[in-house]
Formats: sequence, structure tokens, C-alpha cells
Amino acid sequence: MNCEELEPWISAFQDNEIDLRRRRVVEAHLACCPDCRALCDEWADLARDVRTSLSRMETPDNLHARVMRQIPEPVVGSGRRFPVIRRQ
Amino acid sequence: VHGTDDELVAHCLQGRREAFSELVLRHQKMVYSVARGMLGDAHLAEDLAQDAFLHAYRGLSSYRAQGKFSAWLRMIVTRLCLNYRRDTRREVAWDDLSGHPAELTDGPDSRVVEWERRSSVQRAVDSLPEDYRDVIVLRFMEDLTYDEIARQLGVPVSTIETRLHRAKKQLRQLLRELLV
Repeated sequence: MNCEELEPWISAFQDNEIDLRRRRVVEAHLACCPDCRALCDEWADLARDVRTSLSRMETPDNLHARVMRQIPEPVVGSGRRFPVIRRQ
Repeated sequence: VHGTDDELVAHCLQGRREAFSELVLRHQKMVYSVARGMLGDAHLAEDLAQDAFLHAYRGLSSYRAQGKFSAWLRMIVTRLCLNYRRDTRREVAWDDLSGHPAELTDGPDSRVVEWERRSSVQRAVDSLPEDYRDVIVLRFMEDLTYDEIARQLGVPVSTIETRLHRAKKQLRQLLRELLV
């Protein structure tokens, strides 16, 4: 396999999501291919950047209130333990 | 109200509304972030996040308590986003960054640099095709494995592997252009 064909495997390897057979092929290739080693490093940097940048967003202030306005109060003495939401 | 998620679900099923309130507080950041990441629009994400919680509430009796409430909830919001896109076939732009990522660190100058970099990465992610955006969000924001992503999106693991590879290639190119 050439570098281009191996690229998807290198991506999965870098994500630690590759089976043993393919891992061995990738490791052997990386050991003798500086270009693919550089690519692997670049994807590691990319993964770190994206992971940092896509950290969870602050939620809008009113989301909780919006949700809870739709959740009905239980009706005392109705015999129904689990309140039902009426579709709007 | 205290307890594990599963205990809170049990309280909800006994009619304790405040238990559901606590579940919303615990998970609203995840639900909103996944919706925003997949849809690329803050207002739409808020609506879908609300829908996700209401779907969850209606479906609480079908939830099987195995300590995986957040995964169950993530599945709901993911499916709602996919359904929304399927029904509208609308490509939206992540054109406002008013929802600041949580947990910026360090002093004012480095915060600006860091914020600019994060904004560039977010713009790059937003400009990806939606199939690629989904896998990037679930992999790098939610830290899911390929297998978990495949189950969330209802496609084979091999498809996830291919999409992630292509998404990374596109992202790398986009970031080279944005960060010069």
C-alpha cells in the first residue's frame, strides 16, 4: 500500500481506533516514511486544537426555564403519578 | 434533589417534577452543545435542546436505568438534529459566536488569542458538510468512540472511519487558510 492508500488507516491509528492487523501495517509504514509521520503528527495537533475549540458551549440563560415551563405540575389526588405533557 | 441520574429518573416517574429540573440542569450544556455543533445555529439549537428534553420527559418510562442517562439523552438530541435536517434540508451557517465556549483560561491577552483561534476552528468546523460536522462534534467534543458515533448516527463503523478521515483532511486545509 502506498501513502495515499494508507492515509485513512493513519487517521484511525491516530485516533487509537484501529485493529491489530492494520495497526501493524501502519506502524511498519510510519517507521520508514517521514512524510506520513509528519502527517500523523499534524493530525494529532489538529485533534488537540479541535478538542479545545469545541468545548461545550455555555447554555442560554433561559433554556432551563423554557423546558420546565413545559413540564406540568403533578395533579394532587388525580391518581396519576407521572404528569403528562399536553402537545402544543 | 440529590442522587444519581437514574435515581432522579425514578423520582420523576413518581411525579417529582423537581427531579427533572435537576436533570435538565445537569445535562443542558451537553444537549445544547451537541445541537449547536450539529446545526450550527444558536437559536435553532436552543429550540432543539428544548425539544430533546421534552422528548426525554415523555419517554422516561422507556429509559432503562443502567447509569447511562446522558448517553440516552445524547441519542435523543442527535436523532432530533438528524430528523430536523432531513425534514428541512437546510444548511445553516455558524455565523454568530455569541455563545462563548466554556472555560477559557489565562489572562486577558492570551484569552483574546485563544478566543480567536477557537473562533477560527469553529468557523472551519461549521463550513464542513453536515455529515463531517456530525462526526467531528461527536468525536472531539463528546469524546465518543467510533462505535458509539456509529450507533448515535445509525451508520456502520467503517462509514464513521471514512467520514472522520475526510473531515480531518478538509479541516486541515480550511485551518491552513484561516490561520495564515
